[in-house]
Order: sequence, then C-alpha cells, then structure tokens
Amino acid sequence: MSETPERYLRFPLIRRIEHWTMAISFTILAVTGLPQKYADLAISEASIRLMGGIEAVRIIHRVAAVVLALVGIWHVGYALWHWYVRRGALTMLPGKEDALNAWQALRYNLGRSDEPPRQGFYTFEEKIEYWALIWGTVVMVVTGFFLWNPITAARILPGSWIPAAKAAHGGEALLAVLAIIIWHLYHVLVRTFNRSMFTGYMTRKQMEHEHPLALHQPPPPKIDTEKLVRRKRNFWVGYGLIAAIWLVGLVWFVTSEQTASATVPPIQEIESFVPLTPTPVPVRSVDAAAAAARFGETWEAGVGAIFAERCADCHYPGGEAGLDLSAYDGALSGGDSGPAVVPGAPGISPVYLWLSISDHPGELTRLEEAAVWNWIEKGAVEE
Amino acid sequence: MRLFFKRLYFFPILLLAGFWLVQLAAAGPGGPETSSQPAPLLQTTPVPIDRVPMSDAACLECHADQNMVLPLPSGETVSLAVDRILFRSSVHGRLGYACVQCHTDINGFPHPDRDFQEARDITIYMSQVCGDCHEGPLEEYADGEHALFIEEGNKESAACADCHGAHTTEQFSASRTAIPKACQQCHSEIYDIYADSVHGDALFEEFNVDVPTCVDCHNHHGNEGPAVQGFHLFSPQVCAQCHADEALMARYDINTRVFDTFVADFHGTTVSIFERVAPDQETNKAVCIDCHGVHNIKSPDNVESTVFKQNILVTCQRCHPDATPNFPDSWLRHYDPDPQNNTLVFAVDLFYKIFIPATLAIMGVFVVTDFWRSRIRKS
Repeated sequence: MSETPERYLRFPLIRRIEHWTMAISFTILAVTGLPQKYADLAISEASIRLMGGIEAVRIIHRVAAVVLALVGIWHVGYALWHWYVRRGALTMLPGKEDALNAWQALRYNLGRSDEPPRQGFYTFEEKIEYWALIWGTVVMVVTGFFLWNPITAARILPGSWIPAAKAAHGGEALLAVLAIIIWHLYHVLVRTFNRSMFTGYMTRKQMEHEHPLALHQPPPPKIDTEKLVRRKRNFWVGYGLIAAIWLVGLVWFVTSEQTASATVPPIQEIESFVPLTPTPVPVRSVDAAAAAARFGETWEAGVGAIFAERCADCHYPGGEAGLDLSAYDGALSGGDSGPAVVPGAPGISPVYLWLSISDHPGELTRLEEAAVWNWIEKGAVEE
Repeated sequence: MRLFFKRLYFFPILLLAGFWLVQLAAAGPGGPETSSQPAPLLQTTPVPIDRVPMSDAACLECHADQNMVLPLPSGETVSLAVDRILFRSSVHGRLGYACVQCHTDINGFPHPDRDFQEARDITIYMSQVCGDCHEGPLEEYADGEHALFIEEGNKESAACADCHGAHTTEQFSASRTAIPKACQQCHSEIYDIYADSVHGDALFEEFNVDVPTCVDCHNHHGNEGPAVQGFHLFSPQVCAQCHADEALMARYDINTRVFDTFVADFHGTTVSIFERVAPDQETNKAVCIDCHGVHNIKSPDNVESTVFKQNILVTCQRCHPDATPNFPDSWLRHYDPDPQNNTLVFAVDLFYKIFIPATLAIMGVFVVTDFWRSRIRKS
C-alpha cells in the first residue's frame, strides 16, 4: 500500500460471487414476485405465461428465496470472520461522519460547497444501500414465512397478520426494487461505471475520487499464529452453531407445512341422477274433473249449454251441414254426412274432430273441450 | 258414418299412400326400414301448415283411442294415445301446428317401420325433429353434457321432450318455477337441496324472479356441470353475473365488491391468473362455491351457512386440514381494507403508501442533485 499501486483490490472473488449470487436471486425474486403482486396487469400475465404458469413461478420464487437465505448465512459468517478472526475494521457500520458526509454531498450538489465529501472504504451511499438491503431482507424473510406457512403462523399469531404480511411483502418488494433502480443502479452505472464488482479492482484515480480516506488506512495489525488458531477454532464453534440453527430453521421454513390439500375436495357428494319415478306420462284426466265440476257430465247439466253458445249459431235446425247442435236429439242424430256424436268414443266423434280443422269457425275453450270429451266418453247422455 | 270419412279423407290418403309406396320403391331392397343403424337426422324443413300431408283429424282417428299402445322389444309398452285437449293447450297446439309437422316421417298409413328397441329410443329420436325448426337450441344441446351422455350410450340422459314435454310443450318463460321442476324429474336430490337454499327459497316462497334457477348457472341447452373442464375454474364469473351487478344487488343490500375482493385475496388472485394463463388446468384454490356451497348456498347470516361465523373454520379445514381457530381471520371476508375492517392490513398499506414515496423522494433528491452537479461541472 505504501508503494501506491495503480490499482486496488476492492472486492475479492469470494465477495463478488456473494454479490452476484444475491443479485441474481434478488432479480429472480422480483421478476417472479411482482407479477403476482400486480396479477391483473397484461405484462404480468405475459411474464407468468413465459415462465411456465403461476405454479412454476411460485416454485422459482421459493427456490430463489432459499438461495437468498443461504447467502444470508454466508454473509453472517463472512462478517464474523472479518471482525473476530482477522480483527478487520467494521467499515460498514454507520456513524456520525456518514450523516455529515451526506449533508456535505447535498451542499456540494447544490453548489453551496466546492468540495465533495471525503469518504472511506464504504461511502454513505453504499451504507444506505447495504442497510436498506438488510432491513428489506429481514422484512421479506419474516413476511415470506407467513405467506409460505400461514397455518403455522396462525397457530401463534392472529390470522389477520397473514394478509398484513402479504401487504408488507408486496410493499417492501416494490420499495426494494425501486430503491435498487434509483439508488444502486444510478451510483454504479450512471454516475460512474464502476467495474470493481466485475473485476474486483478500482483504479487509484477512482479510489482518490470515491474513497480517499481508505487510501491512507493503516494495514491490519499482524496477528500471531497462536492467537489466530484459537480465534479460528472459536469462530467455527460459534458460527457453526449459528449456521446450523439457521439451516435447521430454513429446512423447517421450507418443509414444515402442507398449506392446503392438493386438490379441492368435492363440494357436495350428491347422486346426480335421481329421477322422480315413474317419469310422468301426460294423462288426459287433468282437466276432466274441472270440466265435470264446471259443466257436469250430461247435456242438461251444462254440456248442452256449450253447444248452444258455441255451435248453435250455425248448427241450428236446418242450418249448416244439416246439423242441429242446439238440441240433444239433433246432436245425436247427426247431419248431412252422418252422425256427429259417437257415444263412448270421443276420439272418433266428428263433432269433436271438426274442431281440429283449422278453418272451422267454431272454437271451444280448453275446459269446454274437456267437458265435451268427457260427456261423449261417458256415453253422451241427456241427463 | 263411414261415408263421412271417405268423402273427406279418402282421396288425400290414397294419394299420400301412393307417394309413400313410390318412396319405398325408390329406397330399393333393404331400404331404411331394414337398416339396423339409428334413423338419420331428419333434414326436412317444417311443412307449411297449408300443405301438411294429412290433418290431425286423420291421426286422431286412431290415436284418440286412449288405450292404444305400442309394444316394444324391451317389453315396455308405449302409449300412442294423443290427448288433443292437452296438445291444443300446449304452445304448439295454440299456434295451430299439425301432428305431422313434428312427426315428419309419417305421411299416411301404414306408418314406416322403426326399429325402436325401448321407449327411450323414441324420445331420443324425436329430439332430432325439434331441430328442424329449433336449429340453434339443438346445436347448443349437442354440445351439452346431456347430449354427450346420450352419445356415449346413456339413454337416461335428457332429450328435448324430457324437459320441454312432447305434446304438452310449453315455453319456460311462462313460469320460472317450471325450470327447476323440469330438472327435478331426473335430479330430484339436487332439486331438494336447491329448493332449501337462499336462491330456491326465494324462488318458491317469494316468487322472486331475480334468483338464479338451474339453467342460469348450468346453461340450458348446452348444459354443463362440474365434470366439464373449466366449469369450476370459471364459476366465479357465473356468480359475478348477478353478484357484481350494482342495480340488482342494491335491492337485497348485498355487497357487490364480493368478486373484486375475491380476486384481490389469496384464492382469487391465483384463480384469476389460472383463468387467463392456464384455462385448461384445474387449480386447488377455492372459488365461491367451495366456501359458500353450491346448490345449498345460504345467506352468510344463516346459521346453516358454511360461511356463518361459527362454521367457517370447518369450511376452511376442507382444504386446509390443519387450520386452527385463528386461521379464518387470514381471509379478508370480502372487505376492502379500511380502518374498521382489516385494520392491520389497512395500517400496513398506509405505512408503505407513506414510506415508499418518502424513501424514494429522499433518494431522488440526492440522485437528481448529484446528476445535476456532475453535468454542471463537466460543462
């Protein structure tokens, strides 16, 4: 460092792998999650279709979530190693100087100051990004657990927390995605194209510009081997425990609950075909009783009155077709073409059949027809 | 008496019998009568009333005999009696249609032989005749489940006359209660359940014309049920036809947001995605009828309702067997989140409504000013 090399190793390979694993899982989570939040948009529909349907989307989302959780275990281990074993500075912790740097940056941007803030290994912009990510991940993991395991959650907590978790999961997702675009992508792509997360290195010029204070940091103290061995042993015990708990929790998270039955059970077990037996066959007698009650079953009782009213205008003595329907004897004796009434056989009695000739002017009501049928069937008696 | 008939009908009958003999001869040896195939779909158009080959009176010469029956190979006997009074009072009778306008294959005596084995064969065969005039309904019917069952050889399945009657055909528009009663003939168990539901009760007890009958959900001619693919998935749309109708629901003070709130909640979001992305797949997510019931739908205020407060856990457990008493509260009960209903969701939504713009605004101030300054400095 004292030789002022031309480039500085900012992110060793292992940190780049960590970043990109997280970036990819974050992107997949966003791409598979937002279409579910905004399910009614056409673009959501198209992207769900593209990813193979909603069930596939949900599986992808959950796989990406597990990857993110594993990155979390890794990151805690890395931070512990850096801080406890190597006694490295906790450069990501926010401090008073970050607030001052932010204020200075704003003054500089607005032209109130000629000097941009002089910042260390992590700028206040990067710290905002980092802690927003930590906050967001915690919120997403907790609310995601509620959504993944609603029945388990409702054993302990009120049921209303589950839809609330859904609201928070969606709100936080939107915030995270927009913050990444507005804040992170602006700073690493637009403001300057920062290659360090690809190559691992920053040029001296960039370091002077972005992280001048980091250039003058003393090298980490030399640790004697015996101490190092002891710390490493302690680290593996402690972190092993944390990681084991985390992993067991993750397995529980993923497998604890069969949220719902795979298929909706049939709503009702009903025999569909249950016919009323026997299938009713139309029977003629439906009006017979009513007709009998209204007109009786004899000429005198009322059937004669039907003929008198409906037929006798034409069929009077010496009238149409020589048929006299104004009196019982006339009706029974018939007309020019033979008998009109065949007692006992209404189906072949011409007086009845004539009514089916469409151009026959006389018409009977349904009840009157029934009465006439009834009367003939019963023998066409006078009284 | 004989003279009377001869004078009226002898000539046309002779003429038509002659026609029939000519047709028979043209059919050649092994004509249609000897074929074991089902009779072909009739292609004739209805004969105009003034050109019917024979009048009803000729038919009634024989068919007025109430004891006239046709024995069938199955051992059944089918009544061949026609009740003229009943026919005259049916919609076709009132309009003056003649027998042979439906019985188009009969134009004299003797009638052509038919190889009907059982009574159902006749009813099913006659459906084709209805299509001569009612072409659209018959086409719809052909796509429905009843016709499909018949095609598969299930002769119990309904043909036209099973619902509409034969000589007693009446328009269903004349009476809404006639619709479930027509279905009841075969589906009596479902009918009993329906009659006891909130819909059936209103129909039969209050003569309410707004409530759905069988055909409003299952369609009439092109009828479909749960065995039809997509019936379950798309069923919320069926319910929404009425339950999202502001004017209709206002009469009964029923929340019209039920459909939208369903779509916004867990089950409905997935169902609506399936409807659009994978309409040919079934989902295990609940639709309206899975919670509210189907034929047995009751008002949620009714203690017998599956969604009555004390019953809802049991309803949830049908799909979520491990659900505990807290679990039903995870459902927003068709309420949009507001301070009174779903307070916690409302609070979370409100928090993010403030937190997201506030955070982005602060970030935006830094980003915009930084961008501005870097451009200024460059220029």
